[in-house]
Amino acid sequence: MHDIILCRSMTAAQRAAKILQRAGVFASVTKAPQSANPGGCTYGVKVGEHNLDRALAALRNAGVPFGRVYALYPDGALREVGV
Amino acid sequence: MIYLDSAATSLYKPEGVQLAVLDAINHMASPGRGSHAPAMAAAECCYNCREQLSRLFHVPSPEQVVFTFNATHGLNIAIRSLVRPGGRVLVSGWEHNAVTRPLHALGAELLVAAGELFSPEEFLRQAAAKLPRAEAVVCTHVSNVFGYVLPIGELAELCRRAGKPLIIDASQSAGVLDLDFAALGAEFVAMPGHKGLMGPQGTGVLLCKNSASPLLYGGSGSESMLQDMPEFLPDRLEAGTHNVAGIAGLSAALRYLLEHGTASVRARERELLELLAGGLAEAEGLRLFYAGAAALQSGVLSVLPEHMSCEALGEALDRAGIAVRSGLHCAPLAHRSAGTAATGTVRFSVSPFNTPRQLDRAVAECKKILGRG
Repeated sequence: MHDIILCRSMTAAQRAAKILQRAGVFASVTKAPQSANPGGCTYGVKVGEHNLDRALAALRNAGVPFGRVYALYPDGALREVGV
Repeated sequence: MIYLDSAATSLYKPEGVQLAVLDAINHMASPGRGSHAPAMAAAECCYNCREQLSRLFHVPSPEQVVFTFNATHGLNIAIRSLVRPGGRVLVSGWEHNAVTRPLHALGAELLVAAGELFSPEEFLRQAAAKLPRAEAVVCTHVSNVFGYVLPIGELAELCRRAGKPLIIDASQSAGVLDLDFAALGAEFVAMPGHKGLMGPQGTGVLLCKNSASPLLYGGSGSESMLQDMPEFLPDRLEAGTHNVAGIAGLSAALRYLLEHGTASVRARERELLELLAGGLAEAEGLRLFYAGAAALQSGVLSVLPEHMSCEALGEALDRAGIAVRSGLHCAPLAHRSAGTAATGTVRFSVSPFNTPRQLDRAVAECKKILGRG
């Protein structure tokens, strides 16, 4: 299963993905489902569930801001993950 | 044709620029507008370009790199963000209309620090004296008319000490001189993509220390439910569809610059400028605005014919296949500071891709024309 770490923009998501890749965490930029952000379109980075803690630590270390984190279920459903 | 007008637009581009533009037109859509392959390819291209610019100019984060249409666009954003209507602004006496017209439109009062051409100490003395009365400072790094390299590091230090926000117009220095955004501490640095960075026309960059006021409002691909522009960069300042083809070309040009380094570009342009100045110094009836010292002048040389108009010399050179620019170069303030407002000048400006043989021919044609009177 995958988790989505929300970022405030496409550019922020791209920066986050690059940092994660450098930290050895496979991450891809993805458009977040509308239900994840009532403010409108947003992007995030998708990481494997098993990599979430490592990913968040890498982003915090690099000082990259991120938003809420969601677990993405195979049917497309989302559930917020407390971090 | 021998092109010696690179201070206006680079005509000779690094290999790869044209192909990158073509590839973007064929395969890329718009960044942040969907997650299909063409949109993501465009996003990747734009992000890579932001990263390259961050590296070249020592910008802490790629999000602080904003794409504009040109330097004028970026300067308008920067000036509108920092200067109140009727505010008092310190400028150098060597500014382009891209700075003075937006300030005029705001009714700003200009405090001008000029001094003699190629006299940075005098400029700094005047700037220091006027700085306490200014609410912001706008300064070009290099005069587009005379190639005069202003002491931007020292001015930035004065501004930091006095707590005055600084906007740098890097139109003539980006890609040619070292520019460390983080160390300078400037609020904004604006630059075109099509001059020293050697990218396509219609590209520009604004480096931002903090956020700014949008000049354009519209879609950003983010926070779409809100009717205000997003608070965060770069989206706040990038309404509407990006010039992705231009950015792709700029990215290819930046690859060349990052590989070769601005120091090699600077050295090459200096070598060419010395050749040009040395040759033109032997021409009859021609006044040269040449500093001699390498640190004071970029690859731009203005000249003033004594027995014919600048326009006549420019046209005669054009007929001989030498492309230069005559007139005021959109910088009447710089001409007033140098005492050439009544005549303008003829400007030669080199690119790292010019050759010594081209300059020999330009000098020979110039001598021939002036010899005819």
